[in-house]
Amino acid sequence: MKVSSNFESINKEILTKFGTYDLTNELAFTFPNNTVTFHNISDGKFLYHRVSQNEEIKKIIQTDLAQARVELSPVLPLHIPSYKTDFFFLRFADPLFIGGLTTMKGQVWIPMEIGVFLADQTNPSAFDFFSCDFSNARFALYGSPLEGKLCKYATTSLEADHSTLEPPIYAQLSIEIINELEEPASVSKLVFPVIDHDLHFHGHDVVMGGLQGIIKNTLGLQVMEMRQNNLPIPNGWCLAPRDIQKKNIDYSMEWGFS
Amino acid sequence: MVLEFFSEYSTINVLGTQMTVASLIMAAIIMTVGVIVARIISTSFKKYFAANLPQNTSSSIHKILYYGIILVSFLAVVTSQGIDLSGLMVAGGIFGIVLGFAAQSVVSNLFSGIFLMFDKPAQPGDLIEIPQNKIYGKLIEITILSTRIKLFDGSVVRVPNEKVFTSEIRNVSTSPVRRLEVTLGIAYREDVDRAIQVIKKALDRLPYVLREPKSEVWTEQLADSSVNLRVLTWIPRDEWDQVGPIFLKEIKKEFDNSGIEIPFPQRVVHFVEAKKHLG
Repeated sequence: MKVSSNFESINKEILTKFGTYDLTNELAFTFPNNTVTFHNISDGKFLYHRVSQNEEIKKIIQTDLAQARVELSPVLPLHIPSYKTDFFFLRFADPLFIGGLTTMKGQVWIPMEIGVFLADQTNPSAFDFFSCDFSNARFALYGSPLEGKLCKYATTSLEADHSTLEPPIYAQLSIEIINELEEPASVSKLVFPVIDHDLHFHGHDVVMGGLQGIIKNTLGLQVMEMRQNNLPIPNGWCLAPRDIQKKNIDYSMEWGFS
Repeated sequence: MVLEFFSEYSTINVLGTQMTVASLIMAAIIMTVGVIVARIISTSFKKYFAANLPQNTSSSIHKILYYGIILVSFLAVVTSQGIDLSGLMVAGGIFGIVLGFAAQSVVSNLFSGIFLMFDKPAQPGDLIEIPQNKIYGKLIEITILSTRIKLFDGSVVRVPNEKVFTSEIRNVSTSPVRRLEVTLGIAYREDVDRAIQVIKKALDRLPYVLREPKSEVWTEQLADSSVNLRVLTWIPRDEWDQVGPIFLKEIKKEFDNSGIEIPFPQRVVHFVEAKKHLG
């Protein structure tokens, strides 16, 4: 099954790979629905210009010319349309049914965003973020309107055909759902603090590590405890820079997951 | 030596009581110490305890501590000087009645302010509406006597606490999301299901419209001139400005693109044929 996407076919050859680039007189990067250019105005002063599907951004950037570098890197899907939450709501297009005392493992693909960082200092500093699929950068509420949690939102499927998903729009997330109950459980959504996840990239490909959900009974209430599952990263993959610090949030889905 | 000199030769009559300059100096010292103690205690409170309390509550307690200690100091001064206040009591009783009438609203606002501090219908920074007074804006602070609200035109309105306490207060900042509701009319000849799809398509384009809970559109009324559709959609609490002003525009554009008519008020007039009428 294919996760909803606006991009039927993209020539990967013309797409920019994630990484760090020297700022020369003219630089151009191409991403789905986005074109990014840098134009040298004068000593160390660059005109940054991004043309996207629904907006056009221009910024003048002052750099140290001797070591002026720019990094284009995947970032957590929290910035578009604006940063309002640290949580992500993943809705399964096909609900999962997990037998009692059983574990289900799989891969899901979630939309990510791209950050443009100035890398002339020790810590890269981000000055722009954009989405390759703006129409799917949306919010949702988990729980009741009175006490629920606002989250970024995406639909996904465990059965998604990876070959049809276009880089660099999605990041791969390994999920493991452990049902500690004796009775079966139906899971159609996962809500987790995405802020604490790291992104690693290699060329166009991005992984978001692992996520573990443990279904358990707490004080008579069925909850799913969400944990980050740190998976080994293959050699040659780079850790994406962060613009928001981790918060180490302990979180359990208390308002249902079916 | 100096005190003895003052006590022997200098006396002043205060409310029928002969007071020496020395005792007056003592009174001044007590009062000064009282003010200093009041300042130290209220400042210490502000420094060590105010951070754990709501801003309005801490501000009020700070004032009560400060003026309370000064009042106690003043009473101590009066007592130490042996001033007979019984004369004042009689006059004070009458004055109290007059003052009671005059300060009725002040006292009412004061108690309302205290109750509001315990009731906590809203926190500073919350977006509140007082429909009775047609006030809608951001709550700045609840002081002992009044509540200050910043309106969207940038002005600040001061509402007496009594009015706030006795009014309905709608706080839209208690939930992470809020709902927008609007009623639209479409022509009777239009397909209602198609119109609903078109509205949902228009809402999907707005980035701050929540995907869950989903937007709802239902047929509210078969009215005189139109089929009225009720649109309910959820947005993040603080993003009304991003959706409210363009919400209807996007639906209208989508209606125009899809050829869905929003009718004018209309009335069907039947003319009775003359023959039938005469026959």
